[in-house]
Amino acid sequence: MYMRPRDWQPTLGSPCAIPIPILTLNLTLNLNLNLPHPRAAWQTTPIDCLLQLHLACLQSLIGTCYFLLLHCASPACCCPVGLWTTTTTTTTTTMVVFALFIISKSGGLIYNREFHTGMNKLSSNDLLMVAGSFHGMHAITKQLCPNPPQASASSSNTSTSLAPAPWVTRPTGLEVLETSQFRMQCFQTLTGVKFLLFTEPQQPNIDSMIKKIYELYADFVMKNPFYTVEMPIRCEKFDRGLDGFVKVRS
Amino acid sequence: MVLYSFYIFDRHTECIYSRRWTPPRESSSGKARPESGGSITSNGDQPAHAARNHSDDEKLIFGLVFSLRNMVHKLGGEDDTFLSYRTGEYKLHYYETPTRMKFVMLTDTKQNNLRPYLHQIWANLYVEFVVKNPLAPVEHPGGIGVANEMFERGLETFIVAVLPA
Repeated sequence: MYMRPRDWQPTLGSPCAIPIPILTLNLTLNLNLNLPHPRAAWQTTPIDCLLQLHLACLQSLIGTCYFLLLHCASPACCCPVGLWTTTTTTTTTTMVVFALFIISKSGGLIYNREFHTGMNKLSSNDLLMVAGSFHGMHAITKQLCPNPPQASASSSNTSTSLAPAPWVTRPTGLEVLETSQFRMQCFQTLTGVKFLLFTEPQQPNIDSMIKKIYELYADFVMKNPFYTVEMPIRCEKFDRGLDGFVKVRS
Repeated sequence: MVLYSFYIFDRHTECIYSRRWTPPRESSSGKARPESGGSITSNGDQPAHAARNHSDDEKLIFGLVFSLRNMVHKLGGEDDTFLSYRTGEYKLHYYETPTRMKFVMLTDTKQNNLRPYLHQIWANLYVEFVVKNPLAPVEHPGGIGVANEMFERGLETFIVAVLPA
């Protein structure tokens, strides 16, 4: 599986910015103009063909490695011309994560963390109020559901069918809130804990990010023997894990 | 494209116009959702849901939208505006006029932001057929003067034209 961008053409021999759907990767490509086209022998205009190379890139699963695949741009010929592998040593990402809130199942704010300025600074009292009212609003958004999910309809969805019986037919509450300045993604675990992640409006891949944060929470908070549930989270390893995860990307 | 409902709230928390396209709640015109299954739902599957009537829905939506708007102002600053939210089942689109009238539309989750359309409904339909109507009162207690024939028909054609089923 690879994506073939339509109008990104590398400027050969000069630094070029290649937008990648997930991150913006800036790297210098020093391509050799004498690349042999595999089918150059029977191309009528091999030089034109070479100048219109397309780059396809895909991020490896680990996220640290990119494969760049050069294509001939002519629609008739789609043979790969070369394959490069590069690591993220030269990456600059555009991930802006403003803040993370964790709301316990009873509506209390048990963790809040600001990663990036851009949202209003609120006092801890205000934050508690926002979290509490969001807890209520989340419940109302569940109530308002105009078409409650049917058990049969949702059984096709593999991610929800893992949940035990009552949850499959229960409407999910608010998942994404969009405003003109930020976007809030809410992920509710089966035990009722809510993770709110505030990012910039057009931010892709929040789902995987919030799942990763949930993993960090499970590893470093829930497995911490000194942590009592429903109490504010003070786990240094969790903080550091978030730093390593969120700040590296921003 | 599935459209569930549409509401207009005036600046005093009152719902002055509402319209639903969901079959089990109201037998209004066409636009059935794909998996209607109204009988299954009313079979005591969700009794609390069925017991609630329309005016309760309106109040809930107003309260929700009002609090979300306040929360957004608190978090993002005064010039931040609430646009929409999405759950796993539906999406709510929101538009507020400078006079604090609120236009709310519930659709399926695949819909992009409908804010421009809500703005058009306000500018081209509400202002034209309700505000400029000499017989309509200034305020609309209980929705008097909003649901006139021109407005209804305009809304119907607008929705059919802009949001094809």
